[in-house]
Amino acid sequence: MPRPYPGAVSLSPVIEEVSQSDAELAPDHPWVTIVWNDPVNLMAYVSWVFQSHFGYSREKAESLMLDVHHKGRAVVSTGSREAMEADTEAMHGFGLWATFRKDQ
Amino acid sequence: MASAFRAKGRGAKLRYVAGLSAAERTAIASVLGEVLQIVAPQALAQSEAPAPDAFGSIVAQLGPLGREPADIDGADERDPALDRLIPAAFREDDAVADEFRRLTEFGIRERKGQGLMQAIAALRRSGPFALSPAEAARFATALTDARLVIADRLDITEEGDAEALERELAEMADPQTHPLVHLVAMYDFLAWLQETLSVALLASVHPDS
Repeated sequence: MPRPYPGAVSLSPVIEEVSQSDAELAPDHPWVTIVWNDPVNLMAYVSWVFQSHFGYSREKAESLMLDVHHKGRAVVSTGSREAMEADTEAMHGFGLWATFRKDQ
Repeated sequence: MASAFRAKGRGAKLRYVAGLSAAERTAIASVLGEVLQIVAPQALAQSEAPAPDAFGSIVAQLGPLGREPADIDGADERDPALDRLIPAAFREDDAVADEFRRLTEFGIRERKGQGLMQAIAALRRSGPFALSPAEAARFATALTDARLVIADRLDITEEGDAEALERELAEMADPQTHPLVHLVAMYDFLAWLQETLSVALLASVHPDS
């Protein structure tokens, strides 16, 4: 997966201390990155971000973008907490409203 | 009259070209300079800040735009637009969100600041307005950052707010007397420009599909 910000620091070790219990209860449980709808970002721009950052196909990027637009949010990536933190930071770099959380 | 971004050339010669007048380029660079003052960590913003001009002073009247940028750690001075640009990343636990912000915000703001400065430099180049693919990608994000800041000043918080503001202006006998008319016009102009750039960028992400 291309990372537009190769200088990004890994945050995981420090944040693990804050919510250590979560991580210990389910060490293999995947985490997710969520992008939320906002009234400013344009549909074409959001599609482009999903394609260029995640390397998604045009169809997948467009489907995720439409979920954000119509349902208010979409899970755009799944994986380790460290990877989801990196994706969230990258989405913030693009100006998208992104959060990460443990999958439910 | 501005003309939309379009891709020209192929391979190493691919450029994203828009027809912008000198006045339009100056106006956009001025807005991006204002946004730079808010977004970039202090040292970066001070070293490259363009001089304020007429549009800058219009924006400055509407809020804390144009003042000294907040120290990255100075919570008292924090511009509310920063929470638009860099929202809380973890909703289940404020402590986790705060820690994530503490670790990521400086870097994100530094990179946004660099992107804004590169966009301003490109706008100030002589000749046709043509961007390399890497420049075009950063320019699209710089336009997003600018629109997020202007949206904060215009109080656009929900879907439809921008359209409602435009309707309000359209129904006025003399819209030029509305204090927000220039900012709304700039917001619309940047949205149009970003839309055309995003569509042009999309067409070349998977050129064979």
